[in-house]
Amino acid sequence: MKSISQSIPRPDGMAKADGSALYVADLQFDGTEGGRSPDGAVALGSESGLSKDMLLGRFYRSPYPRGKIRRLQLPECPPGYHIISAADIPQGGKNEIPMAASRDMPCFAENEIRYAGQIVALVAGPDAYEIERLIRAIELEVDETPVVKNIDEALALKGGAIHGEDNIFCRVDLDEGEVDEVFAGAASVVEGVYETGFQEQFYMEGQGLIAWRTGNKCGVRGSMQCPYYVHHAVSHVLGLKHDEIRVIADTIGGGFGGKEDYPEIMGAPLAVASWVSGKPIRMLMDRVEDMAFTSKRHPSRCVYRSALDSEGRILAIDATVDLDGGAYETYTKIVLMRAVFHSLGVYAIPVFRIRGRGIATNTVPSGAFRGFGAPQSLFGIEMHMEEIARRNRCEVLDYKRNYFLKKGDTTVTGGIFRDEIILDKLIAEAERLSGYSGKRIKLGRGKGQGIGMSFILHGCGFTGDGEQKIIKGKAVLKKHRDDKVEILCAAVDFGQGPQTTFRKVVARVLGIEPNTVIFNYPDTDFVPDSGPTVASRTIMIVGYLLQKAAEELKAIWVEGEEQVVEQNYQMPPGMSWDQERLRGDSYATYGWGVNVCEVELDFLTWETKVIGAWAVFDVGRAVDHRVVNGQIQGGMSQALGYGAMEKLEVDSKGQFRQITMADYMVPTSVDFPRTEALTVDNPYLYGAFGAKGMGEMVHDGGHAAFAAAVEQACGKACTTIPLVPETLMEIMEA
Amino acid sequence: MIRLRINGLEREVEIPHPMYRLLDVLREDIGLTGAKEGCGEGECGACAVLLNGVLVNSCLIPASQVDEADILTPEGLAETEAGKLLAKCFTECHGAQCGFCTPGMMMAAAELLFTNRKPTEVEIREALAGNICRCTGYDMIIDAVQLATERGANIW
Repeated sequence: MKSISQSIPRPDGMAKADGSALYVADLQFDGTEGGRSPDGAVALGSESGLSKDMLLGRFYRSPYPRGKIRRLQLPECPPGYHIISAADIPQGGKNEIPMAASRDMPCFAENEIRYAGQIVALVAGPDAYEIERLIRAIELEVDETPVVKNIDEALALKGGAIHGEDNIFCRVDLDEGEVDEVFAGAASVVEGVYETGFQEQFYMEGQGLIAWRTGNKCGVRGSMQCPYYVHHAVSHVLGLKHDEIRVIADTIGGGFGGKEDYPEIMGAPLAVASWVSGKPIRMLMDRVEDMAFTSKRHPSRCVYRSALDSEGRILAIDATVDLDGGAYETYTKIVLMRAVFHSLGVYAIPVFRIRGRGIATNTVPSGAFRGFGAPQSLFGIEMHMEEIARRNRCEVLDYKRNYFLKKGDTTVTGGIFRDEIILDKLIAEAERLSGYSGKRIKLGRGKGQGIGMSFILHGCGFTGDGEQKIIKGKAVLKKHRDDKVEILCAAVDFGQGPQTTFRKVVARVLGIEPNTVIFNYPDTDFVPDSGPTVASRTIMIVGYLLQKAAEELKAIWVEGEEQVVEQNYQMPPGMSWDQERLRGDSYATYGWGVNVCEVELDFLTWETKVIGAWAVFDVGRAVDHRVVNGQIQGGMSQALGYGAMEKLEVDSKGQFRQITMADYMVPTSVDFPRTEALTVDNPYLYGAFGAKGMGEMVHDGGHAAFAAAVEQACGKACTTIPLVPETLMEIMEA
Repeated sequence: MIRLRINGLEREVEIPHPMYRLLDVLREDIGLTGAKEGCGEGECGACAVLLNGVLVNSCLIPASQVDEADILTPEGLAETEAGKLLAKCFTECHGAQCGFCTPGMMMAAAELLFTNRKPTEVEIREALAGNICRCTGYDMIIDAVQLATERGANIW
């Protein structure tokens, strides 16, 4: 039998290539009341929000970055137009977005403004020009307070605290051993400060949703990763019961985390407007609004101090991990947890103290982005290890090898690495492909050429017992009377491949063709809550539930009968977690990887040119090689963009300076060479056909490998990304 | 009022205001939603179509300038042998992930192969440089175009 890893053509490929796949902006009223398109892919009709009287919606956003709201004056509305604000939230509903770890962000600003662009009102109506006129006629008066633009201003409490008394949203601390004692007896100490900037997800399709009302039911559909997150947010803001809400995910033009939290932030006020007006409303963000006001990757500053003995060996690490959370806490706590839990990378350090802080500023609330904190702290530890190896006059790979984690070692939270760790095999493959060690020696230092290698681990699935206690994922297989099998779960394919891989998993167990398996985009009226499409959990957690369901269905299969099987998530045996103390197994298992990057540096312009990129990963087992390699190559491209070119700054009001595609640079087809991608099998017992999570870790290390290569090429420490030419010039002329 | 040919069909379209774009004509008037609006400022290529055989970003073309023009959209391309071959290659090679850039990529790939039957990898990369893809890192798109080059020797 063929390996499950052998690639098949993407089942969703043809519709995407011929332009017939319908994204939220493409949906049109088809004259029906309801039902689905002939191929089942699209929910149609007025019952699904598509009616001929659909209005356009736009937000009125605060032009002020910070202050108390003194007065909000809304203009008279002409017939057919609606202006909705905090006062319109119905009784029983709450003016707050109920995020996974916090509820501090209001749906509509009511008392205070915390960032320029905060949603204050929503204007809906049939004509875009009239909507624009009404938005301009809204009067907002704010008693302004000095704006906090970054971590330093936040810690200095500029203008008083934004949040609490100290601007600290949340802390995550880890301690092991007597750090101060070890430092007091150390032969030397190496210290470094490592900084990363904002990063824009840059999904090609902007945010877009439709909200509608059918009697006492509220619907939201469109571009989203997590239909049940939107469901939950609408329920909270409108005070509706579970079965009074319907959320439908449509074909989605990319996410990368950017459509994890934002569809809640956007969908909740849109649902209020539709509920109050009784009209279906479509809101499509243009690129400028999307780039200016949707959540970005948290900027970070990590300080690592290492105590070394007289032989240069690491005795202890004392580190701080600071994340700029923006104006509201939203997801910062859980991003910070992941950043801190990954802050020692693939290294076993006996004694450590990690202090993580999520910090309040007056910028757009930072949010989810592929990697979720790990790309920030892994950059810190990888560049710090480079520095220590340099001080020791030691080849960095040889130095790092001394500290590689092994099976049975303790995690930073006191859990156990239970599965085989095959870093040596991954390195051997990376060496074979890239010729790293030979080049590293040959290229010298400061001679305009360099090659860097970075190491990655990434905890798969939700942190700790989140899958068991919070998500409680459930997946269903339904066999119809014609013996066609349908997957019912809430996972969304936003490019990362479950339309392909889930069909393969189910089909392989049942011995049927993948293309015969029905798998529509989720509609909460029909699918159970298998959890959000995030956290590298989809193939490992939901895919495994589907594999188990298929095994069960196979055992009870009766031709010509409708049969339904359901599987519920269970924590793998032996895993334990204490959420109060953050102790135990923070993740069920880990993906591992090695990235290599080779660069040339132009000493006149300080431009860098990537001339080689290689990535070798342990993803457990690839359910489809092309799906996995596509993630590896796309992730490398984003990570190299993060390291080399994607500069995003804020102005004096805390607003982003780069808000068009012309200003914010992402990689094009000519910027980077092909990424040579490879996986090495190391099957995981509780993942679909051995698969572990991998969608995020492909973005965890490319920027560090790039920066390490640039350090070799320029001969100086490069501790801040992105390393755009002006940054490199500052480094070289300092 | 302008008259133009879209995917081989004669069309008459009213232009409501001077800022009305070819992209609006396609999506709003004709209902052809294969061309996507990714940025609205000519940077991303998601709205690419062929205008008299030349690749353009339809978000940058004023509708008033396409009177008497001949337009090929992703839907029109998909009806041709070349389009069917390209779509199959994109699907097999996983050149489409989220798919939002894909119709525009198909147009750019078609224009390249119509003018250069055997492009090198460098030529393919240059031809696609006006189309941004955030998912694939471009490698599997290149694979797809190379496969179409091999399989379509008698088409291009």
